[in-house]
This record gives sequence, structure tokens and C-alpha cells, in this order.
Amino acid sequence: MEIQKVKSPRAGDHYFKVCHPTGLTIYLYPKESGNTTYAIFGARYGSIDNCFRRSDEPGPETVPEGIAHYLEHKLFESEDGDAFARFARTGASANAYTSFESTCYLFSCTERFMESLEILLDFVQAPYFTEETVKKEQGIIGQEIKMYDDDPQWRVLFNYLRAMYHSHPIRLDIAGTVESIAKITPEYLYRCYRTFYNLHNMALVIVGKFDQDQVLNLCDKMLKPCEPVRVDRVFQKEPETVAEPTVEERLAVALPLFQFGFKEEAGALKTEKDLAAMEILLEVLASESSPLFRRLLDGGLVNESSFSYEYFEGAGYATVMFGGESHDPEAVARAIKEEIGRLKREGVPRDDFERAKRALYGENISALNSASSIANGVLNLTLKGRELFAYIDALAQVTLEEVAEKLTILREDRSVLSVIRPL
Amino acid sequence: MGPGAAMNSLSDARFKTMRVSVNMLVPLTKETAAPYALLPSLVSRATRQYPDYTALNRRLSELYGATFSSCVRKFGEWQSVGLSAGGIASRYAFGGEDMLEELSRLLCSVLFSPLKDQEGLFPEEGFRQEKRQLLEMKDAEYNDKMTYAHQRCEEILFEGQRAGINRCGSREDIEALGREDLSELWEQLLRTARFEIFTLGDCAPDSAWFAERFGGAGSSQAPGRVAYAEPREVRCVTEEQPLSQSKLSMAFRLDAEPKERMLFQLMSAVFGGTPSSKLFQNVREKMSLCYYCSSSFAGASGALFVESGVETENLEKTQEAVLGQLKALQAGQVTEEELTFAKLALCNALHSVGDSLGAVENWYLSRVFDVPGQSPEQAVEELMGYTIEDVVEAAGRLRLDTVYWLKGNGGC
Repeated sequence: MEIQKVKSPRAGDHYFKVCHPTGLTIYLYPKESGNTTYAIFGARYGSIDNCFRRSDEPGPETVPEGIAHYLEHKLFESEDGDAFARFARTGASANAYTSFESTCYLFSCTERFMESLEILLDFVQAPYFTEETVKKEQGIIGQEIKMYDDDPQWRVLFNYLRAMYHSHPIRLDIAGTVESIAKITPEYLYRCYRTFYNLHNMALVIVGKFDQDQVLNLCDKMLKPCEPVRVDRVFQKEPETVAEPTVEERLAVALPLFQFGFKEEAGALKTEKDLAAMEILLEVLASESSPLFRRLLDGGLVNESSFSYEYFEGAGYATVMFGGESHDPEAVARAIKEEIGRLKREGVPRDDFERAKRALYGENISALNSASSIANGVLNLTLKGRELFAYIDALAQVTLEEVAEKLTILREDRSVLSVIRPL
Repeated sequence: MGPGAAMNSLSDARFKTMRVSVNMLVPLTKETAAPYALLPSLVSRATRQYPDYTALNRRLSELYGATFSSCVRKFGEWQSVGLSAGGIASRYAFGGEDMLEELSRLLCSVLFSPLKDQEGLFPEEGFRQEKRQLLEMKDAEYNDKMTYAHQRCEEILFEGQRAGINRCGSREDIEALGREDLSELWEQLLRTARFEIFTLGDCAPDSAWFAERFGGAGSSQAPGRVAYAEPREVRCVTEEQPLSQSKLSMAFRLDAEPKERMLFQLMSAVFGGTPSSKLFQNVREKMSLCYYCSSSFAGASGALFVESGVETENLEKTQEAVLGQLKALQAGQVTEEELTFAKLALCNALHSVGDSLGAVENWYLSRVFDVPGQSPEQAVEELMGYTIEDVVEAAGRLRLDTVYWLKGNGGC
């Protein structure tokens, strides 16, 4: 078993990366502050994985939308009761979530950590689906889908993604639709489980107080060896253009919501440095210290509690987006485009660049206070082939030129404005 | 520190951050709720030293992305008006800044000598922007149907009483705000509020420095809780909106002593507070009626809320199922196992309070209304002593008061 110590002199933290013989990568991050220990076990399998190719089989295979999320719900059940009941005995607080690219099972606890870890490793590796249990979940997930249907923030985002992407599955709802989930059978669930819940395609992250030897001994006992099968994501070719430049919907809201942004040619997966450069650019462009934000605020166009921006990227998709509530979403979009134009003409001011770096450094150090934010951060970075401390170092090392270079991605002819208006 | 101000310091060098905050507690009144909600964001948007929004935010970015924000909370019939500043610990500040000193000075400067214009009023532009943003926050609460349904239920439950006043006042109250009265209202807030000051995380406050500034601030009025009133009849209110899912919000009143808070937390956990609770196990898992159905205990209000999101045609059925589960609980249908699971879940939550500076502040601020100064560890001890009989007896004190349906008519 290969164990590597990864250190960050900047943060004063370290962790151990363990390549377990079963194929699982394990991250052990000791943390003395706080009482909570947090464990998260995740698979590189999300809502975008509806078409895939296994390295041991010839053709690509397509399955109904919403299986990753459905599986997440059903994995909690086993032949002898549900995992929540088992966690209830240890007092751990357990949960799970499905995102575009991953499915994660987690718990946090302040006592009896080893018992809870054993439950986590056990239930995620023990699928049990029957016609009856699968059917029962349709009512629950149906209500989850409807809850999101009424959530204007969710709707404005998905309308945006559907307007931006012609074919990439990022445009699909994470839980699928009431129609697509009606097609889900135990066979589909087993098929996808056996394809994606291969330990080579998964990672385990533990942050907090634990005994490393005990954890690794338990992993030796619980982890079931897997064939070294690789799963590749299969996407249709996505054009560089957007599908629709604007999209609008009416819902029971009192104030319009918007999502505005730019499509980037997806290309190769981004590095830590790419992310750091874009984060700094966005901080310069739109943070509360920026001239743009001030203009938007003084113009009565945005408010502090809802305005946000994000570099949202992953397998086959990348977009820079801005969102919030506004009485005049078109004017917000215009102002953002104008400011980008100005920065392209006049360059990124060095003072703003330095200030943005300081702010992001502080925010990243602060995030290392929380076991849950470290664990989720490490897991999601690793499933995308990245590393936490390398990202923090990249923030310090990135140059003004590298940041300015990112402006070329923000092209007016690749922009989308999605708006939700009152009825 | 003085008759009207208490200092709560929890220094812990294992944190990478620090936080300093000032919370001013005042009784909720229709006249003051809106101006007191507006004032903290108004005073904190610029200072005499950084007299404009952008200049202040640039300073915060230079201080490694420090935060400086306001927060308005509600505890029963009291309003908590808070200002807080937080950032990385000084040992991470490569420029050598003393973060506690920087942020405490900032906080005190806006509290005691906020930026004013030549006429001695809060600047016009800031006032206009903050008033607009407060009104937009109201709109955002309408946009979020879970929040909206809960707030409507609470409004109906406490109709005509102080506890029924929104934490930021009503839309009309906010619209009626004028800049001229605000300077005097700020002075009034500083004079009459009870101050709860916090310094948390990796910082070592100089208590003399704080005593000098806050020793004479505030007044010594003791926060109280909503008095119990036996519901006469159940009030049922239905509103319709074009939604795909309907929301059910039920409010129960209960007659409890402040010191019984943990008992009622435990009862709520058994009833609908955890995945092993009666509501989750039966209404969601067995009946597949919903994605969420949970209860929450609002101690300072003397109320317990149950909330769920369901198909419109299942509103009645879900409501009956909730009442059925309550009836079972009141009839003593609780196992030792259910009790233990609820205790363990609460213990876990209590032990986790110390992990986040915001949670620590929230904990001790909330304790002002029931058991002042009680630590999470003491609460655990108390919790473990309760028996099935105690929980059943507590459930027996729940009285259904209000049922609110936000009825979806199929969406658009």
C-alpha cells in the first residue's frame, strides 16, 4: 500500500494520500480543531453519465435520465433495513448527494467514528434493489422533483444550461423527470451500480480526529477488490455556439431572477492554475470591491444578498456565470459585457489583481476551518483529477498576464441570458 | 462589562479564523422593527475612514477577504440586530496585521461614530440603496416557497401580537421609512438595547478595551419569551399560487418553562427532527407522501412547527398523517430505541456547535432567552436524563393552533 504525505506550508496543514490495493484512493486529513470527524465516500458518477463506455466492453450504452440520483436514494436501503437506522445507533449525522459529476455518501460524528465508518463502507458496497423498493421511491423522488420545479433559482439555472448547451447532458435535471424516473428498474440500477461503483472510480476522504492505522485496517477488512475497469464518459459533439442567446419563463415570484454568462470551449480538463486565474479574474471583475459591482448597486440593478458569480466547469462543459435578482436583467447583462470590454481594452489593474489574490488567499485559508468543507473540497477536486493544496499554491503563483489571458474566454457571441419573471 | 452589555469570549487558537460581533437585543415593535432592520446595513456600508462602499470593500479585500456584515434575527418577540466582522487569524496575515484590532476598530467606528452627511443624517445614497435592498429581501422571501409558507404560518399564529411582527417589519413599514428619523433611532437602539458582544476563534481580546467602549452602552432589560395562550380553535388558512407542489405548515403552541428547552428539543427530534423520527419514517418512508416532513421547536416563541411539501390532493391526507403520528406519540407509543436515537442525534449536533464560530455565537445568543450561559456540554448532560415518560408528557402539551396550506394549482 502506497502512502504519500502531502503538505501545505502556506496553510500549515497536511494529509495522507493512500492508494489502496483494491483500487480505492483514500485521503486522511488530521484536524485538531473542533470535535467533528467527517467522512465522505464518493463515485465519479453524476447526472451527466447517461451514456458511457466500459473498458471491458465494446459499445457505448445509454440509460434513462436520473439513475445516479435514484441510486443514491436506494443505496441507503439494504435487505435488513436502511442505513439511516444503522447510523442512528451511533448518533452520526448521515447524508448523501448527487451532483452533475459525482455521487457522495457522508456522515459527520463526534463519537464512535470507527463504527460509523464501518457502516458507510458497508452500505455503499452492498446494493439491494427490488421491484417493490424501487417503486416506493417514485413518490418521494417525484416530490423532490416538484419541489425543485417551484424553486426559481433552480429553474433559472437549468433554463440557462439548456439555452447554452445543444446536447451536453449538463442541460438535464439532476433527478431526471417524473417521466424518466418511471422507466427506472432494479436492472438499470444494478447495471449502473456495477459500472460506476467500482473502487477504481471512487475516493474516500476522512477529515478530523482518527487513528490512521485503525482506519486503514478497517479499509483492508471492508473494501471489496474490484476488476480494474475504466468507465469513459461518452458525449455527443457539442457545438462551440450557444443554443439560444436568451430564455425566459414566468413563475410565482415577486422579483425577477437572472443567470447570465459565457460559454467556453470545453477542451481539455482545466488545471489548478486555470481555475486560480479565472477565480482571480472574477474577483477583480465582479466582487464587492469592483467598480462593476458598485455601478450595478448604485443603478439599483442588483442586491448584495443575491448577486453571485462562478466558474462552473467539468467534463465537456465550462461556463462563467453571474446570477441574482434584478428588476432589469438586460441592463445587468449589458453592464457586465461593457466592463469586460473595458478590461480587455485597458488591461487588468495590478492593484486590483494583488488585492484579489489577498482576498482569495484569506477565503481559502478560512475554508480550512471546517471539516466538511475540506472533505467535500478534497473529494470533488480529486474526482476531477486535481489537488487542494496545489490549488491554494496556484492562487499565490498565478501572474497578472495569466489572469488577463482569461478575458478572451468571455465572448459576447457566446453569451446566454436566462430570466425568470413574475406572472 | 456593564449593566447593559455582556462580553462572551471563546479563544481557541486551533481555529484559522477569528470573529468579533455585537448583537443588540430589543423588543420587537411595529414602530421599530423596520428601522432597526435597516440600520445595521446602513451604518456598515461605509465608515468615516473609508467613506464609500467601494473603498471599504477594498480595505476588507486587503485584509485577506475579511467579512463585515449585519444580521437581523428574531427570537420570539425580540429582535436581534447584529454587526459582525471576521477574517483569518493574525498568524496567517503575511502583512503583519493584528486582525482583531483592525476588525474591532472597524466595528466600533460604525457603531459609535457612523458616517453622516453635513446635515448630520445618514448619507442619502446609502439610505436609498439599503432601503431598496431590504424591500428586495422581502421579495426574495416570497420567491422561496418553503420560507414563505413558514412565515405565513407564523404570522397567522401570532396575529396581532408582537411575536407576529416580521423580523424586518412589514413591506409597508419599510416603504414608510424616512432618512430624517434614523439618526435618532440609532441612538435610541444603542441606548436601550441589551448588548451581547462576542470575540471568538484565534484571537485574544483585551477586555479593558471593550469595557471602555461598551461599559456604558445599552440597558439592562431582560429578554423574555412569548407567554403561553391556550388556542381556542384551530385556525385554517389556505392560499393559492400557481405551483407544482403544495406546502403544508402547521403550528402548535406549548406551555413550557425556559429550563425545559432540551426536553422539547428531544420531543421534537423523536416526532420529526431526524431521519429516524416518526414523521420521516412514516409520512415519508412508509407512505411515500413527500420528500421532506419535519418538525422544529421554536423555544422563545413557545411553538413547534411541522412543514412538508406534497401533492395538492395529498394535503389533507398528510395533515392527518402528521396528527396521527402526534397522537401515537402522546399515547406513549415510543420505544427506548427511538428515544436513544433521538438523544444520540441531538448529542452529535450539540457536540458539533464548537466547530464553527458562527454556531458558537448563535448558541450563546439563543441561550439568553432560556438558560443563559449554558454550554452545549451541560445541555448534553441534561438531555441524557430525560425518559420516555418525560417525552410523552411534553408531547401531551402540544396544542394545534394554526394550519396553513399554500395550495399549488398545477404550476404553469
